[in-house]
Amino acid sequence: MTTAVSTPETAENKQDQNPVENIVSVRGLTKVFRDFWGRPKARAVNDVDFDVRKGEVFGLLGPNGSGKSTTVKMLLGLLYPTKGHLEVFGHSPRHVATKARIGYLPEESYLYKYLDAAETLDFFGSLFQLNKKEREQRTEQLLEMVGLSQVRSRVVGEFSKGMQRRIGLAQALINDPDLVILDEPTSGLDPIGCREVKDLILALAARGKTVILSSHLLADVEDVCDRVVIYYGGRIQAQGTLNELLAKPDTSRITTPLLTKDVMQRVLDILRKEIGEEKIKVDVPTQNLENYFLNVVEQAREKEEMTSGATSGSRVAEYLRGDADMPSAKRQEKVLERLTLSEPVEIDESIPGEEPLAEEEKVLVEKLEQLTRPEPVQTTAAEPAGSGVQTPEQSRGELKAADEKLSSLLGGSNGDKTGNSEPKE
Amino acid sequence: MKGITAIAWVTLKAAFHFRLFYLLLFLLLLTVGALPLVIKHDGSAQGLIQITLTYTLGFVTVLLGFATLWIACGTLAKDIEDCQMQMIVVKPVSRAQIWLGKWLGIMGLNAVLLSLAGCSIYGMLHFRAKSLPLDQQAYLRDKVLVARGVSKLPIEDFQEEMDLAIEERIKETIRRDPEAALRMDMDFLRQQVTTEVRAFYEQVSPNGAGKGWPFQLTSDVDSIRDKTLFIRTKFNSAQLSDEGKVFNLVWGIGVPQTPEYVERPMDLTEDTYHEIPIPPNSFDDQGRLMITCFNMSETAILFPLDGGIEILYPKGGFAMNFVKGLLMILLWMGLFAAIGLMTAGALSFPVASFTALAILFIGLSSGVMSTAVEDGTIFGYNHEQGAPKARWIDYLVIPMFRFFLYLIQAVRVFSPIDSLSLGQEIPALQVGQAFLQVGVGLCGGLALVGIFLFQRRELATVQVVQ
Repeated sequence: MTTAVSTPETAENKQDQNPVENIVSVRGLTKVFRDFWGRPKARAVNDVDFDVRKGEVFGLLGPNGSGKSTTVKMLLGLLYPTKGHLEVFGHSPRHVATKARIGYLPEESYLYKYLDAAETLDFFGSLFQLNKKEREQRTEQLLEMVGLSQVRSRVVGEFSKGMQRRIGLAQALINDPDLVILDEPTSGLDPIGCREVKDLILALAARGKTVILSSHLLADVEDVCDRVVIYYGGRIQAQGTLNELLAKPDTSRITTPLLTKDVMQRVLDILRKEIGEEKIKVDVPTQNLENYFLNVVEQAREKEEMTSGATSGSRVAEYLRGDADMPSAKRQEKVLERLTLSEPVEIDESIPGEEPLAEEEKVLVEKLEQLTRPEPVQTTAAEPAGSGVQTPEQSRGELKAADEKLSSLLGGSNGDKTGNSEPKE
Repeated sequence: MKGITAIAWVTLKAAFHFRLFYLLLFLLLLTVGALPLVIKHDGSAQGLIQITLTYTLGFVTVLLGFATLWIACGTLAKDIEDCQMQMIVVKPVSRAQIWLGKWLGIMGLNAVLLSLAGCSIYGMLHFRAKSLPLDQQAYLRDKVLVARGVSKLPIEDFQEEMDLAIEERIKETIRRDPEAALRMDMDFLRQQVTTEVRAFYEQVSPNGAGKGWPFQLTSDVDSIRDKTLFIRTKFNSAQLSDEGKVFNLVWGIGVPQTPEYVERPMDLTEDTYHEIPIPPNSFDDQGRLMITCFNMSETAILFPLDGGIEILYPKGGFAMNFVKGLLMILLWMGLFAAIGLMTAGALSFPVASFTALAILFIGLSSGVMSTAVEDGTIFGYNHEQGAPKARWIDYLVIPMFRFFLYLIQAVRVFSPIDSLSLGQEIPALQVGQAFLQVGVGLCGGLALVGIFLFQRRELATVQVVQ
């Protein structure tokens, strides 16, 4: 039986427990582009303030031309601010040594087209002063991670856009950066690649890395970001945690396995009595397309169908995992914690194969009664799409898939693969 | 350093990937192989050298120079325009390192190409020399395919003498006509006096008058004992109408009235280099040699103080001399690369290329600048009416021209192709001086300007849609 009633632990909550360290600090940032004669042409960024804290996934959201890419480029020292103050790790973005701690994936592939995949990573590794052995090791691991090890000798100019994104991502991580700046990281990637990138972002965040994500794809941002700023016309229009921005404090949602007609009727009776017919909405949730697509591909992969392009990314590169000595279960828990920040925690009290329905119904009714009392109830952050009521099979299926993904991300042995363990709560 | 070498490697790799290396190599080898076939020499050793060494090496230098300028503009400007530079500057390498890495990459390419072209010229020279008559082969062996030391006249300082002469001239004018003294054009006077003083040192009067020059040869006198030395001379007639005229001169070698003293009468044309053999051991134990010239013609002749008369003596082999010459050409390439990178760091590719070429043409048109500097005006000097008053623009342009000329002279003074063609030794000291003057001084200065401009440039203002 699965019930979803919780308040996710947000980055904000965690910051209450630990002193906040700002990785990026932006005050009054303004960028005016000028023409040849020095006359103002466009005010791309206008008096912007924000901080990015250590270990968070920070999103820069906004429509095209809103100023988010200009902000990113100022953070990287590629553009110089017209006005305002900008610090990255306490230094100017043009401070050369600080750049050793930053990884950057631009929105387009700006790599040398005549270098092959391995040479590209080796070249960027050299710029970080990595020694030959380290460069070779990291190149191997990163190519494996982004699924390009089979095409390591092909020049980047022959790559598809998705493959170029993958090699771009790999170069951004060659230095094991403390701050990763990703500009539209999922642009040009297939759904598997998108999911892998998002999983990677979460895995990096789980290691305490800070990630700045600039995107106009709301689903990407929603899936991974702790906090976001929303740009429009060069100004920040809104900023805060996703909970703060997205929660509807005057609405509750209850997720249960599929209810029998009788139980549903009783539940509705209680609700009608308390809040009236017109404010209640009941539906059957669908899983999102991304999950469905990934399941289909996973099944095909199990049948060992061949592909000539990039293969699915493998384990996160060993040097990026960092906490490889942490027990596998604990690592999974850490990533799961991140994964569920903006989603309801699924409390699975059932044992596979056993479904004591009568007991389940009892518990459900009790919980519903508790929730419909006048006292404030725990609200959930909205699930991206169509999450309302889930069947136990669906929940278990999704959890199993997520757990398998995490196991592969973290590279640890996982009993789940043999069907012997349960997902963590 | 790893960053610099990585960028240099990528620059080199690009040259190979875009077939630029192969194209340039083909053109260079074509020059070396085809030029002597297209331009036939007159069968003499000098003709062979003129084509196989002077023309070929000159052409290789020009071709490589333009290619270097273009590659330097392209490698930086295109990287900025195609945004690859954004990926590099966000890494922990300074822009100075990026600039130097690019420069080193271009120089690596130049070093390889120049070595290959040099080897083929060297091989071609020896191969074609076998087809010459025996006496010409001997000439080649003795006078060209060697490295000969040069003993020059000490440079005289006329300043004091000139100041005295000017003072004397002013005093005389005041005595004669005080008002005329007030109207005197001092620039014109200075020019006139300079010509007169120089002529005193350079001129050999006609009708049997003679002039002697003492030379100090190498300190290692034993190394030139029993060997043939040469007087190399080039003179001009004091009358402009004598162009191409033959002059009867008698060369006195050694101290007159001593048993070693010999005289060599010769008919020589003006404005041409001549080499006159000196019998072995004509110098004394301290390596001093006295040369006298008697002008038997009816016109005065002038031996320019710089290069009018020199003594050549054997000093080393041609191969090492050739390598030193190539090294100096490589330094020129370094200068071209620095010019290209300097413009590309601040401008787009087409504008940078145009600017770099313009700088090169300014360098080549130094004659116009030096005339303007001599006249003190860019509007031309009227010798009959006197110089026009300098306009305000002259105050701005002339110092600038003077500065440019100084820079151009700093490069031009090192001319390895002439030295190699004349079988003249390129001293290691000269290579070192060229390295300091061109490699460190000029390239360093251009690098500082280039890095400053590159540092100031915002690299994300250009967006490419792929």
